[in-house]
Amino acid sequence: MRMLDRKLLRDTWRLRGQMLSIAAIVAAGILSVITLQGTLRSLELAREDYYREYRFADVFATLDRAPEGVARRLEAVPGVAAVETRITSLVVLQVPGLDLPATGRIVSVPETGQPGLNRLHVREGRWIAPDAHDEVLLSEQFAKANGLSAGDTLRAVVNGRLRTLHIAGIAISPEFVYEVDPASGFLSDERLFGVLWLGREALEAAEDMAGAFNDVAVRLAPGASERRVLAGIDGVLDAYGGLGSHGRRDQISARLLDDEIAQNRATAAVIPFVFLGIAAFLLNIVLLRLTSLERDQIGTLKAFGYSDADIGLHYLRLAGTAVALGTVLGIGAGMWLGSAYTDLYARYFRFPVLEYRPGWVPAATAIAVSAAAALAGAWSAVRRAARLQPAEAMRAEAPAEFRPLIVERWGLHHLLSPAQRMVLRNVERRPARAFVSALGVAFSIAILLIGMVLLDSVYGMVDVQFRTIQREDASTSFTRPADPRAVRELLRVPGIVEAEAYRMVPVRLTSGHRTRLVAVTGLEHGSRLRPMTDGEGRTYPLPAGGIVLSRRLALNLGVAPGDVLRIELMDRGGAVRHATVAALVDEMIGVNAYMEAAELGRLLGELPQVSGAWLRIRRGEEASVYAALRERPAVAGTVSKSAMVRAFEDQMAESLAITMTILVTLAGILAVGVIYNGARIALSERGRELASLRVLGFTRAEVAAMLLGEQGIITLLGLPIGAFLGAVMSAVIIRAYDTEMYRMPLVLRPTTFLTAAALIVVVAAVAGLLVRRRLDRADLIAVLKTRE
Amino acid sequence: MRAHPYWRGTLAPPTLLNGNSGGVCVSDDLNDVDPILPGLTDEECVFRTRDVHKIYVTGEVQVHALRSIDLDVPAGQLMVMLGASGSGKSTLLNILGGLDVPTGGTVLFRGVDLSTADERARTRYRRERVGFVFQFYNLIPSLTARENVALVTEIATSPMEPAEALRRTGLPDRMDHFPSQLSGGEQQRVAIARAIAKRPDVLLCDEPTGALDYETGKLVLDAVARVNEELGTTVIIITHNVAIGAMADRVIRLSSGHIVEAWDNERRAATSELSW
Repeated sequence: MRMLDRKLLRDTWRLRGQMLSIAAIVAAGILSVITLQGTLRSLELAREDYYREYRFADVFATLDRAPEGVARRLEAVPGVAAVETRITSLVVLQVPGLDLPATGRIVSVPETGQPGLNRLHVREGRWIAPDAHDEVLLSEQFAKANGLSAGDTLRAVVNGRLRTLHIAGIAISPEFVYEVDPASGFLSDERLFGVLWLGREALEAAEDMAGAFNDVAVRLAPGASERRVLAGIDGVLDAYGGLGSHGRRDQISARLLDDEIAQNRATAAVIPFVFLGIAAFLLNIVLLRLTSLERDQIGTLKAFGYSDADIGLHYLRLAGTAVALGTVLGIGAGMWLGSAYTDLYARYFRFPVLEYRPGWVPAATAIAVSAAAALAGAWSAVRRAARLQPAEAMRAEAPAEFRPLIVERWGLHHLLSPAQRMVLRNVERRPARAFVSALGVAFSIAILLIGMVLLDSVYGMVDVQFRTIQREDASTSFTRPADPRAVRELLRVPGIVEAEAYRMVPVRLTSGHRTRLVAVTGLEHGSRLRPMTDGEGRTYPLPAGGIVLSRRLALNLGVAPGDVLRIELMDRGGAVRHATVAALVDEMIGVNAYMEAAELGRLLGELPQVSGAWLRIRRGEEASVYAALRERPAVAGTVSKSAMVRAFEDQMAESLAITMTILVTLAGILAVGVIYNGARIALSERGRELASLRVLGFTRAEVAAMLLGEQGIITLLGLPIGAFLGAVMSAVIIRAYDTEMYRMPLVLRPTTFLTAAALIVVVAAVAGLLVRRRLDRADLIAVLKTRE
Repeated sequence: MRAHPYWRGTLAPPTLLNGNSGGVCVSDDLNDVDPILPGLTDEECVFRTRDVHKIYVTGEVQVHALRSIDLDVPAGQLMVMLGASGSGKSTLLNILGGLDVPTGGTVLFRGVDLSTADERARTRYRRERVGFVFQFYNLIPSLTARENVALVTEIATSPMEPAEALRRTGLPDRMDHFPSQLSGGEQQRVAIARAIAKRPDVLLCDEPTGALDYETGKLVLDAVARVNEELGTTVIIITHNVAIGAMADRVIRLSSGHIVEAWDNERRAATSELSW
């Protein structure tokens, strides 16, 4: 072993605390690359394979009813490669042991085997038998949540008739990667929504749809224009009550999966650089200090004939050792966490196979980026060591120069004791170092805050949406539009204290070239259960005339109050009406349009009808109300809002624990690294000075305060910067989450900021105490004899 | 010069080891009992060591830094300890200054045993009783001359004004300069001001002129001598420079952990008379 190698080994060992803390920060950066990018890559690969192998459709359309022969006309639309017609309907499910109302989406499949598009992956059991009209395949998430498996039975109200269905197998479909009730959006209780695949003949018989279909999936030919195909399909289906076709972008499962990947890609690109940047900074201060301490050694080595390159490389390798250690640790931990993270995704997104398949790209990126960080961090120190002239190197460095503080120049010096001046002048003497250190502390707070603010905001979103906007306990929908008297009927069910009718009409809203498919909700005059809300959470009554849009919808359509919208009534063969935008409403979930029921009736040219009702239920009587509603054939389904919110909050609480553990660890590594290294450097620079003070009779605590005061100031400086960074980064992320599916209010609670700050202060104090132990062990006698 | 009975090295007659005959540090009469430390109430004697040993163990090697040191230091005296490197003079100074404890024997400061004092008690002792002057000054670079002194006066019970301390060491017009703006001699005089500002009982100087040139060294010694004369502070200077011994009341010389020679000067030389 060359002697310089031996020196390298011993220096690494001597500086092991600092090297380890830097390696841990590098590891955290690498870990986040491997975990986030690896998981995203795995998700993308799984999505790609699944969609391709199971022939996921490109275009979807729902209609009232069309004879099977129309399929030929759809196939003839230019750009269409394949057409799969189907029957779908919503049913009420009765699951043994579940007292809440569950909703099922029934989708027809050929009795003879896999459909041409949207093929199923059978996890358990078998395909339905050709002649068994009561056999179904059940979606996996719902089956698992309710403890159902192949061979079990469940009951469903299909087209008003209660039927017992036998579960032949458990399956998943590319259409339902995220298995979610379209009615309640992404927030749903997995026990309460499931998909059932029933034989086409059986469903034709049950729904009186012999020789007809009400849903179609289409595969595009390579290179076909989706926009033209959509127009062609709508042209064919308009005559059959087509509700408007849409691409994958508006398919709820595909959309949620795409959004998830896109949102995480942004995080995956930013987080690693924060860690690696701070690691580079810490390497820089450690190596600068080391080369300054080893000036005479560098001079001696050069005097003996070692080249500048030998010396430079020596220090570069020291940086490389810390970074290489961090990289290895980071890749190992990242593979493990990535695998766990992917498993977590597999609980929410159902794929035939979702394996952690990071590939070599994240690891290669990680290695390249960390090597760059090592180089960047070591560069100035290495260059300085390489350039040092031997004769100059063997002379002691000139003593540090200080000058009075800014506050002293202002004439406020009498406010500070000499010890306080010492601390402040040390901070002020190297403002850049102090600032970057404070930035490191700030980032650790910001990382914590992002997680905590995001959680507060999710809770805020749920609170605004489900306590301020949606004030009902449950919503019930009828199998078909009914007379308003049906709602008054509901009040006779014991336990229902309030019932408010609503009407839902599928429409296409158009302004200029912008167009959106939505449902207009007709509300009772002076609706109590669905008040309009503005951005500050204030409520106001629904205007009597015109149409009210959620702000996001107005933004997408490019309209403002006073503008006139073109409204196509999708279930009236595309009949065209017009309405003025009366107001905008701030909602958290989905995009919605509202009109007063009477106004909507006039628009439709019919007497008021109702699609369902929002209910308030007396506390404690929910179960009996749901049981009673389940028995009513006119009721298509009931959604319990409280059960949905509870399930969501439970799920959030679980991910809260996991997320906070990871974030606290990452933030802790960052804060410890910054404070520990800062204090070690300060101790190395000022150890002699502080030990002299111990000799002069200062106690350990007093001397420690002089050393750690500097780190205390840096931590204090970092707190407001971190709060600011955390708030801004949270705002940016929350903006990125602002989609048509949902949006979150930015909830900044003082207690959240105080908690994050307190956590980081505790972590910083622990790091400081580690260094204080070294100070306590300082050799007081050596101080008297040596000069630095 | 004559040998003096105040020191009792291993060369001393056995009869002197337990008695006080011939010493100016009178009365360690066993009947005159100090409530804290029985048998030792001697107000005149600042330090009294008996049979002090110090053994450093590094790995398998034992180094006897001090061997059976008996020493009395009367109050108000200026003592110079001479010795080559490794003679044990610094070890002895460190033990007297409460920086280190002996392996064996007793060290009494005004009757209080330092050899058994814990770290906390020794810190308090250094804080309240001892002034240190180091070879390399050890000033705080981020504090001005005045602030370096004030740093110590803040934790002292009845200190003098920092300005007064600096005046006494001849630096009235350099008070607001930082160490990097002062010469070595000036820095050392700030260090002396810092050491005396708290009015310590003893001033311990470890090679105070070791890093200074001849002229500057004499200025610094002058400041030390004035402190001794004007404030009555007991001063111990360690040096390898024999010439400095002339300014002392008493000189002892150490070698291999023993006190091998000691004498009193009949007249203390003024620092201007010193030459080396």
